Amino acid sequence: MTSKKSLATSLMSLSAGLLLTLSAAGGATASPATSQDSVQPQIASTAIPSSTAAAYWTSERMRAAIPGDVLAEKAVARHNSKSNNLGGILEKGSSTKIPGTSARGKTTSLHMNEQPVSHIGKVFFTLNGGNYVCSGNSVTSANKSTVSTAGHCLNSGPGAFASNFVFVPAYRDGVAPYGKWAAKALYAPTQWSADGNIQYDTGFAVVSQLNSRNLADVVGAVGVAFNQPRGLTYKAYGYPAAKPFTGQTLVSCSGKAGNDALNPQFETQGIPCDMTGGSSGGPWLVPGDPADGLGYQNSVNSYGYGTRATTMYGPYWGEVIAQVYARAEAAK
Amino acid sequence: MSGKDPVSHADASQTPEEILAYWTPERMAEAQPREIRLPAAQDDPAQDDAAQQPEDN
Repeated sequence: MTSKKSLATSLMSLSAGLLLTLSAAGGATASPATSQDSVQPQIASTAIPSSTAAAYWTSERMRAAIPGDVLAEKAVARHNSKSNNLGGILEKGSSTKIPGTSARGKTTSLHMNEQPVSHIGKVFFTLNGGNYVCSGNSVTSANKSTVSTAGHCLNSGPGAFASNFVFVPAYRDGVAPYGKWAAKALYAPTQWSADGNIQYDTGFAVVSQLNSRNLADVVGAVGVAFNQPRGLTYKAYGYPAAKPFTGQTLVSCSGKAGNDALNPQFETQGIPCDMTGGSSGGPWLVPGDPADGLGYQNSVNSYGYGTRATTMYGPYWGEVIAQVYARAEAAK
Repeated sequence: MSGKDPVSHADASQTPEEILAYWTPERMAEAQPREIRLPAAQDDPAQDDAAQQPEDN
């Protein structure tokens, strides 16, 4: 089935079904332009059932296929060797742009799905009689056993510290590829544990060895940075579990941080993000030396506004949180 | 804050073995996300003012 069509007609056909312009597989050939339609480009088209095309491309044919640039060279040679009455047509016509679509269609999502990262995981703990889940990250430390998270993921703020705290790095779909690491001590700013001051919503857990090995030696550990300029660009990770998420896979958000305009006294910063509950405590990373590839942690997922928050806020890691980290990472 | 240690901490009262035994697959699956939701801004129609902090849901 060979036909001549104007460019506009051919584009309409593309939306209606599979339309291939072939010169070899389908046996179609470009017809010479005739006088009655010489002002429009001629397009040879062949409609082929997709099953036919798929069947045609056997493994042998795909391996033996000639690179397209060989055909292009021949086409250029032909063009140069004889007059072509299509010359000049490419320069005509009004400017046209046809937008593409992503594979998943239009989306307003503020997050990206991620593969598991060895040093990022879920934390489970008991607080005030209930069992909870948040996110956490292995950070560089002298004891090679320190995990960062949110203050509210290890202390009531104000109130008691959690019990049964465990870190599960690279968690995915119920699998703990690097094991479960039980905490032996928990650290938080007193301004969180005594006053519930959200400005200091960060905590650190020191975990016990597992199979005689330290956490950082097994999953790695990200550097930390304190007293950094405001307004950096972050990539935040977490395991959101509240709907529409399931908590079974790692998710990230990225963006330039801005101040919390509603509560500037918190001195927190926010990035565009639609992660939900369960992502609390996940690390905010800034790029580091490309050689190490890990970057530096400079905050954690802390809070949002309302039930459909589109901004995730994190505490500014200043001198107080640096002191908490210093005590935790030096703990035996 | 003067005179108060800026760092609080607590040592675990359970052994690592006890903690790991506590987290059965069932308990892990039923653990609730702990989060802080502040009341939404009144001028932001995309957000509700449903939540308080932190949520013990």
